[in-house]
Amino acid sequence: MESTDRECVEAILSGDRDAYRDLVFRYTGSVFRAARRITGNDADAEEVVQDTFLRGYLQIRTFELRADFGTWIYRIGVNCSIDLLRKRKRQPEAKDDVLPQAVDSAASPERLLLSVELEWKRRSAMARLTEVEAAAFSLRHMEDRPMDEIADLLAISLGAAKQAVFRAVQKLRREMAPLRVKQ
Amino acid sequence: MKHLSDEELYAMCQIPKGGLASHLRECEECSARFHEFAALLESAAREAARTPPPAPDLSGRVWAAIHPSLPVYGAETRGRRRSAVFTAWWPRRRAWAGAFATLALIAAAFWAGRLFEQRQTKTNLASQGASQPGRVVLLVVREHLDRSERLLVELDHAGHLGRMERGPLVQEAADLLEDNRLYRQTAMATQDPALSEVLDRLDRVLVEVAHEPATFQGGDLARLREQMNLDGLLFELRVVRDRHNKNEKETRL
Repeated sequence: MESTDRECVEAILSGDRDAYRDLVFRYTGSVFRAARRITGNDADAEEVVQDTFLRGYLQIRTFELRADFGTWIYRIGVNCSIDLLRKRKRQPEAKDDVLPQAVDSAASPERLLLSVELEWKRRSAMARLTEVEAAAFSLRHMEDRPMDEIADLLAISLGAAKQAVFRAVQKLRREMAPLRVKQ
Repeated sequence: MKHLSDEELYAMCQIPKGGLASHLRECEECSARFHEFAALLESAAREAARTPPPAPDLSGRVWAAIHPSLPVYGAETRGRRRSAVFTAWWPRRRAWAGAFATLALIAAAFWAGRLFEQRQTKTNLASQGASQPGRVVLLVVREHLDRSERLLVELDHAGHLGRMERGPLVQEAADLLEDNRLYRQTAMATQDPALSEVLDRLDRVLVEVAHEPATFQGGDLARLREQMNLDGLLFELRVVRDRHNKNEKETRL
């Protein structure tokens, strides 16, 4: 029978570190998705997932059993993603951007190309946002999280979270505007 | 035509509003900007929908990677965790309670001290007032006697030299004069003849210095010293002051 999150945490604290395996397998998906949307690529997202679960285990004594483990580890994942974006900005890598795959196979070749170019442009523009702006935008428009939750996750006020999202939207829109005209 | 702000257009992308929608139909500029916002959000939504799931073996790889680094939390940790949970909840309350208790203790000590001091002072004054009528006056006039002594010493010193700085001494004498009269009357009322006599003699000197400064220059100053017997007055004043100091010490003991 599958243990609940609470049982897993209690087992870990009683000396059964293997109980953490269940939690890793249970929440890898949600942490990966958030990390993938914030960082923009699989490799970084996988690094974030590993870092998140390691950090989670080391901090598990601070986890309150009444709380939801999924939310708790998700929060750590968002913070790890932001940390990784910061690290990437400090150590810029010469990394070839992978063009996103087109989805609309029925569209005309020109439109398809523009759509791909638009997304590529947005991704490269995302890299120029601040870490908080990038995270706030991803959480709002890709993870579809409500603003109060975003503020909570980023440990900023609601107003600051709204501002961060709007700043990100404005910057991205300006970067993409020339392509939009062509379209 | 008033154009819509970026905030309004961005909000429109999320929650369409009827009034603004009609404006967009009429205004090409706002409509173009609106479509920029919409395109951006659509692009983000498309990518979100297309976010690939994690590789099937990712959980296993993550677990294999972190497993060796994970410490084992034992009984000690359980105890620590209980105390951690307890202290996570308790310390703030305990800190506040401690702070309030300390403040309350300080306040109580302060008020107790004040109360004790007030009672003690009342008791002392009452007992002193009953046994030594002049004692109360002496407590009040101690500073006056000190200042007067300094003035007399300066006068005496100036008399020997035959010259003096008049301004400060005249001013000081004028200041002392008013107080001196008050204290002399009080000393008489409290039946302290020694103090009363000293203050009476001091009064005459102060009047002379404060109101007739021209008369004690040069040779006149020597005359004043002799007439007023400044040396004798200074001696008496010191005796009275010493008596006061002695009484005060005895009271303290």
